[in-house]
Amino acid sequence: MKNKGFLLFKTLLLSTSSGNIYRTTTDKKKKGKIIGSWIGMSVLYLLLIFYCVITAIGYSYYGLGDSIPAMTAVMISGLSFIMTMLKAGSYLFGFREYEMLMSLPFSEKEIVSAKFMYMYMKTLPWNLSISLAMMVGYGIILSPAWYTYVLWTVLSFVLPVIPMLVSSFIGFGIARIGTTFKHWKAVQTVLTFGFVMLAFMSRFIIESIFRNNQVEDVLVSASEGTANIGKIYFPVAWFVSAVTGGSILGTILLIVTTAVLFELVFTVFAKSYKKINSAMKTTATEHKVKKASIRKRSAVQAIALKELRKFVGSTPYFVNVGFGYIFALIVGVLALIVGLDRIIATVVQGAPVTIEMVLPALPFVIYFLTGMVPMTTCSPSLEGKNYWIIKSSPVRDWDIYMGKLLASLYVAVPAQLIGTLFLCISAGATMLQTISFLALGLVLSIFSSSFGLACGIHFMKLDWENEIEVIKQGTAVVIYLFPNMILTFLVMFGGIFLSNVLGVVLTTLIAMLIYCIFIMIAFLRVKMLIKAV
Amino acid sequence: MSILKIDNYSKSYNGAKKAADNISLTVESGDIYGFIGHNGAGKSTTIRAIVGVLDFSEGEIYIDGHSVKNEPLECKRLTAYIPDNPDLYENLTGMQYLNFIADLFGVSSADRKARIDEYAGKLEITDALGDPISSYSHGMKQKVAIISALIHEPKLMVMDEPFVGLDPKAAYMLKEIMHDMCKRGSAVFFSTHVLDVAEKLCNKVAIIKEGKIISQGTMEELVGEKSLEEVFLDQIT
Repeated sequence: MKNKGFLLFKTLLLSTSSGNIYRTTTDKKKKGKIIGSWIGMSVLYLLLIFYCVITAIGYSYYGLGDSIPAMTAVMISGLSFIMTMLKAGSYLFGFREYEMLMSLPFSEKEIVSAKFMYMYMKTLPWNLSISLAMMVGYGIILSPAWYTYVLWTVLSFVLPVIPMLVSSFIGFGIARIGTTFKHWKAVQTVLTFGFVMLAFMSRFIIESIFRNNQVEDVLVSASEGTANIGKIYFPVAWFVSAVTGGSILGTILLIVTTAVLFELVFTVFAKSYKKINSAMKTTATEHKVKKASIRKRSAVQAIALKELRKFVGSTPYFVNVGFGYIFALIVGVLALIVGLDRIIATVVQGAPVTIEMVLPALPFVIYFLTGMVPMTTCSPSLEGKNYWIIKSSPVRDWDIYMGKLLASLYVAVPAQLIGTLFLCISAGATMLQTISFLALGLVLSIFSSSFGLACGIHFMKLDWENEIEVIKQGTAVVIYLFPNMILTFLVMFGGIFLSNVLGVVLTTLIAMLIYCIFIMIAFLRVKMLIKAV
Repeated sequence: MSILKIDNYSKSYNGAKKAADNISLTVESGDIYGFIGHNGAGKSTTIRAIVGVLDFSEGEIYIDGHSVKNEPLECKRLTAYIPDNPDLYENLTGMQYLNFIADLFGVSSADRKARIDEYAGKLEITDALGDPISSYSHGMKQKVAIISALIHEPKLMVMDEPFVGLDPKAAYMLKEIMHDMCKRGSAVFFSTHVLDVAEKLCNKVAIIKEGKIISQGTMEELVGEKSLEEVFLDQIT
């Protein structure tokens, strides 16, 4: 008999492989979409690789080439940790085929470790693109010894595992604690959110520790900074010693620690795995229907409400998509409490940037958070197997998707407006500037939701195995991210420059006009797509 | 010889009312055992505990003498489970899925080919096995789940509403397959709402109400001169 864990891992990969779908389906439209997504992903990978190579060469050009290995290790570890925290809940617990797998002769450890490896494989191409591109940039400038390339390549596969294990273990702890409560979903969502916030803020916490210790008011040099991280997080130091000095000890320590931790984490997981999933897959049925909740609504509002319920009822959906909205509010509140000038100083690390300089960009600062991933990019796909329920209902397709758009706006608009308002107050913006920023914020939210909807419908994927596939890694989400980011950067930096000539309010109005044009294009696209669906 | 033995099994969710309350029953070699009750009576909760999906703290469940709690893998090797709504890997073809299950149970190439040919032929799904499961109807998915359950010749087949979605010929074939299994010394335990089918097919039956077994025994003992439907309605109301 083959190794069962490996068999499951292989099957998981095969069952979600677009190559397998392409090979077995006879649906030409589906084949076309797969080719489209391959092209889109290839472009993204090429851009990422190009960016990393240029970054590495740039660092070397400024004499910071030595810190590239540590920087790569920190980047891969940080990304793996945070991404796993956002995904672990859906990949490792409460997944759709849990019942099928548990009824087969797999041990809990085999199931959860295969699921972990599957999650690892899904992020490996991103990690390798970053790591190997940085290696190429490092190699071009510093021409290191041959063993650097060998060890760097080999350890690039190992490097993401420890942060992923640690993050999964935290996810496991959250799930374990959460399922002891009656409203376990809410508890799990709050705890996951808390840890994701903590992980994001850890950068500032670590920096403040170092500043208090020694360097004070002086920028920590890149090489010193990364060396310091190596003192806290040993795998970075092991990786650096292996690739720069050919350290056998560093290589062995990294590999052995990863293997031991892997074994340990999944042995602990296995003990409570069934208990956690049993709690997640079942619900006590003691709720009484509240008559007050039975109220007539319009079809669009009913769909929007259904979408909102799904949003708050699913931990991965809420944590991944809602993160930007909550963070926008936090940034706004922080600006009010500690002052926008201090936030700017922390972010730009001493660069000469003033409030006046960034004033025209305030709505965009919040939009970077609220417009990261709108609900509409994944909500069409999230219907999944239940797509027929809304499709068979006596509602126009247009109303269905407008309901989804409305749900997205219900969440995005308040976060955008409150965040922008707080920044305006903190920055001391005039009344007219504040009103124009709020109006632009509203337009940005509509753009984000409508463009997201166009991507969501165009790249709708209903046959997902796990909802995180369409929330975090869906083609619609990936395709949305890049043009949105480029457009935001262009309009924001263009606005900063133009405001010196035309003034802030007029520049904001021009930005609104630009976005209104894109909103119209997005709506036309949605209309066309709805006809084709 | 008992193939499935449930001893005082109870299960409650989050400390709420018990979904299964002190259930005991025995399924012996050659039995086709029907498990009937209203929606929400506790049938699926019991079935999911038998197949190792749901954990439980009270009572014990044995499959061919092995404890589900202490020897779960051994129990799963002897069991096949067909849920009411099978969640198969949608993007695999039917054949890829069946090969996955056969690999898992270590079924030889010759045996798996023979069994897939036999059961796919009986259930008339041979031609569709090369297509992705996502293109299948509910009934076709149910057929693939049935073939996957039979591919390793289980000692105990546990099914939750197995006839839902099956076309009449496939339903007939499934009944034939169940009889064949029992002739070979295996046993079948299934839940159903179709009382006519249960009456004709099963030699033993248990009726569950609000988590408790209110009657069980051989069909003759339980039904006597009445129909199973009459007995069920008498006891449930």
